[in-house]
Amino acid sequence: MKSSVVSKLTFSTIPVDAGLHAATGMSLEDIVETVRESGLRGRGGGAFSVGRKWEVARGVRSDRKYVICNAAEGEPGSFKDRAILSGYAPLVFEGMTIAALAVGATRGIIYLRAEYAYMLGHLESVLAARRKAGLLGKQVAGNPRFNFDIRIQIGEGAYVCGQETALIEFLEGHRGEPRNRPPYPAVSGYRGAPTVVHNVETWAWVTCVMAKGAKWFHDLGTPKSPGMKLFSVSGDCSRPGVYEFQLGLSVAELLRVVGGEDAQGVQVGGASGRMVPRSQFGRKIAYEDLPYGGAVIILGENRDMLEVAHNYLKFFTSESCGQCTPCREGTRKLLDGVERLRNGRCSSAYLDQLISLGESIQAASKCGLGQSSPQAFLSIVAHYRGKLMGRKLVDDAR
Amino acid sequence: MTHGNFDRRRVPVSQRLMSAEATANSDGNLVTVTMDGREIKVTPGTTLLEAAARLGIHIPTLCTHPDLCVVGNCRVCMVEVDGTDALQAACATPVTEPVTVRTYSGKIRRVRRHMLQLLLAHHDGECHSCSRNGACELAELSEAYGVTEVGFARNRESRVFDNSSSLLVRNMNKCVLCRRCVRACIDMQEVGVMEAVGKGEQIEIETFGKKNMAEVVCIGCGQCISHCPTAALVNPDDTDKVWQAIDNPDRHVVLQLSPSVRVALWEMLGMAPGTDDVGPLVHMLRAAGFNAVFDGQQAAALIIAEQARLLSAIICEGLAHPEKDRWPVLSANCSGWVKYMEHFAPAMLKHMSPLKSPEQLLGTLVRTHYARHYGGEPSAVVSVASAPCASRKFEAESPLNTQFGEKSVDYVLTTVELGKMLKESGIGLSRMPAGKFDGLICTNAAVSFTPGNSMVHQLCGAVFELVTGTPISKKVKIEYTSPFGISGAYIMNVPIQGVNDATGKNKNGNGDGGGQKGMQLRFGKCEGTANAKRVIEDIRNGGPFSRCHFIEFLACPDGCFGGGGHPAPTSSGIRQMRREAFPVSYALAEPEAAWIGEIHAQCQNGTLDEMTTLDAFYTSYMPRGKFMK
Ligand SMILES: Cc1cc2nc3c(=O)[nH]c(=O)nc-3n(C[C@H](O)[C@H](O)[C@H](O)COP(=O)(O)O)c2cc1C
Ligand code: SF4
Ligand code: SF4
Ligand code: SF4
Ligand code: FES
Repeated sequence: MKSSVVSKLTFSTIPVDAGLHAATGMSLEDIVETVRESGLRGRGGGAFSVGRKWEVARGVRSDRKYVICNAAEGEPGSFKDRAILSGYAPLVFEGMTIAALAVGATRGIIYLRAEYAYMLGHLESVLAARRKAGLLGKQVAGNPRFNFDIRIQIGEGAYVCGQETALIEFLEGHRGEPRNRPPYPAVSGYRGAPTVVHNVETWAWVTCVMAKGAKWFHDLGTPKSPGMKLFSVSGDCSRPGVYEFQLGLSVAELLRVVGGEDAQGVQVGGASGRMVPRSQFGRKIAYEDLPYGGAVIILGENRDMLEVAHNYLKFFTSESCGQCTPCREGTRKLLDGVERLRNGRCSSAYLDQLISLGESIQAASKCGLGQSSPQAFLSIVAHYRGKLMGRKLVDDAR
Repeated sequence: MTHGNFDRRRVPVSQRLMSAEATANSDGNLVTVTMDGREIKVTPGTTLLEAAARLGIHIPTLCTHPDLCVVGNCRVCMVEVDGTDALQAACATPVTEPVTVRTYSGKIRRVRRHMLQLLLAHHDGECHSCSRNGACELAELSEAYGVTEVGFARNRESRVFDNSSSLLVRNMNKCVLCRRCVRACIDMQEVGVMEAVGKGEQIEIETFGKKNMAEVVCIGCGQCISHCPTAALVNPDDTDKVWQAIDNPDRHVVLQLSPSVRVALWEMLGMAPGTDDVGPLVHMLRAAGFNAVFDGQQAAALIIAEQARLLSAIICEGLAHPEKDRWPVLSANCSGWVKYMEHFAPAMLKHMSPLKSPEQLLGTLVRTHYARHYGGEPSAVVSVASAPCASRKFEAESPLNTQFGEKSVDYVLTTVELGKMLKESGIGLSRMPAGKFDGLICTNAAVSFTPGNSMVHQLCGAVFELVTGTPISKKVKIEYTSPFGISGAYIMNVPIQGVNDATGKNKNGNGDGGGQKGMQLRFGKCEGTANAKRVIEDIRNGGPFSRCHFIEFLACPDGCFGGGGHPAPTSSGIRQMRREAFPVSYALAEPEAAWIGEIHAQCQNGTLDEMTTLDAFYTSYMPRGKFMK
């Protein structure tokens, strides 16, 4: 994937350690309160309130607490975390340090996607520099009661390991499989201790919020989805790359900026997102309308939507962790259905049955993977049904 | 007190429920659950499934099993919880705040059916020719919850079929990936033979290194089998071999009926767990074609007599005895436990009692004595044992268990297999006259034992009598201690007033502990290999169990009543009902004791016959380590 364009990022305007400096001057409650007031939501997909998560972790009494940076970036078409880690790693580590201070954690772990292991040297040197500067290790930032350090653990190829509880299982040395929730990691996560997990980008925004204030962030974006967000834009457009947009922009606006006006559809949120057809390009990318992931994939006029669905389902049948019935077996059935459609051997009645199955998969799956994997299929079938069914005539008898 | 490994088990964190104490803000207050319009107050951490059960609301489940930790992976138990879009798995959702739940709606019905249909599409549904026909949980659920067609394309790949082992047969084409077996083996038994391997559509339940069952450390407890909802894991079936012997008029087929089988067999015939009506059973078995049916307890009693002789000799001779460093003596009557020790603690095999298992001893007596005296050709005798688990099959095949080059036991039938034979023979249950066990030692009349399965209790009584010269009575106050606070592993401390010397005179001063007041016999009992692991640790560390004279170990939770060769389903309630069919007793009734004493003495002094001496009682063990060759 070529990422030729990286738009000017807010991250480049944040003075070094301004966030941590601001945080050390506050009471711990105020740090959490600032983050909560900013309205920052997680940038890893779940979009849960960051402040709320910290509040929970802070409220649990435990002598061990952890913060984790989720650098699994497994979503096909997402490469923004890579850009952040290579360009703004100090912001990420600073954000983790701020959270550690606020919730009372002493250890930080970075789960680094195996494919990003080439960055290990760079990241270790940033960590070493911060240790030297007294920003990690014992008595961080001159605070006699604050000890905190970060280590990096190289991950595994599995997409599902990006799911926070599967990630924790993996870090503990088990099969990377999602846990039952509750308890959520903020209550009982890594080694049973309260654990705050955030996406790479979220950590960087934490630092920005602390450096520039809650109001600055909250005034950007929309009231329900404040602030900015990075997008990895790829597919049929003239200027693919990593972009920073305020949340709430419309799909059409995004397409204009990246040079993708001719799209017949846009997959918002990567493989686990949904296909937005041309007729809905006026919709807003924001928590309250089109939930965002990191990846935006633009499908031009000549793309075969069935192939797109096939691609994604193929991905999910092999990337499902395989523990729960709907995700493991259900996506296989959807894939089989797409193959039938491809061969003109899927009746309308069977397609309806698959749509109903897709909804069951979403309702019954144990983790976000299965809960979202049918989305691409369902949205493609909903918007392009005529085109898909018209490929070959079949009778309804199946 | 809990049995032990059911709450001390290692619970993988992915499968751990929120415990009540981990619940944020749980201050011991009760939380209200409103379910299908009815209310109940529960302690935080209670699952929706448990809350439903208390309201008498039935929620179907598949992966959940009362013995095992929760995984929440089948998604059959989905319910609607107000405030969430997705359905929630009732088995894996703890109550942390007041909730309103619906267990029945169109959406739930649809999802449930879809889950079952998806599992069926992955399942080799040869239902009418399946060994679990009539007892398959997947089939029951499908029938009960409206599935009349698979509805979706079937998965076409073919998966592992492995019948390399005499301990269990795996047919992964019938596996629905509920992972009960994994949890039974890793978490409940802490043996760890099977695990889920691979992900996505490639996932399968596999042994370590994808080895054949015959090459792994499986101890044959069968817990995975009796916890499997389908026929993906089954006991190897030797019924045809036994039928063949029965059908051959030149063969004389004898069966030993072991105590736990005689109770659980009724479940195969549709009766409630805990039924013990041995008379009709013996009659039915004879009618089915067995030429003689022996009470397995005879052999158990003989072993106890010999074990008591050995133990009391060491105890009476006190510290001077050369075998003193082998304390505690560990029982070897459970073949699953023996194999466990051979794999996991080979260095401690010197502690193992050198005595055979009851099945093997009885088989030996059949070969040496019975075959020569029953009135027919000795080589015509076919020796069949019934057993609560398939580990007895492995034991019977072991070269360590031959007698003059012959296997002591030709075939072992688990309860499931024996039940299958009874059913197939078409013998009705109604109006069965009561039959009597055959006499093993032909010079004697048949002896029918009062059931009293607990080896350690009877041994305790026998050793007490040999050591003190007086029979144990109710006046002896036995004190029970459970060092780990669980009922699955305990110690009986039996006070004694001095010991007899070799001449039978009470020395009162020279034996173990010096004969002063406060002298004790200490017997341990441990059920389940997870508990056993801790007891072994304790012995190594010089803990309370290391000071026992003797410890009885049984590999399965609740001992042989929980054997994996009994029919599914199993649960602690079912095992308890089976156990309660047998009262605990410290001593044999008068006629039995006299009979055992006589035969034991005859074996000792060689007067029974020239082949049946005490040698017939002894066996040896093989250090195996973590792999089978
Ligand atoms: C299948 C699956 C894959 C995920 N992969 C990632 C990932 O690669 N990176 C990530 O940051 N979050 C991923 N998540 C979301 C995480 O579970 C979690 O919500 C996130 O790390 C929390 O961080 P946030 O608060 O910054 O969003 C994934 C979730 C699911 C269900
Ligand atoms: S939804 Fe898929 S990835 Fe998630 S737990 Fe179930 S099988 Fe695993
Ligand atoms: S028989 Fe027992 S030891 Fe063997 S795999 Fe099953 S549970 Fe594990
Ligand atoms: S073998 Fe049986 S118990 Fe094990 S996962 Fe398969 S169906 Fe479940
Ligand atoms: S019984 Fe609840 S998910 Fe299987």
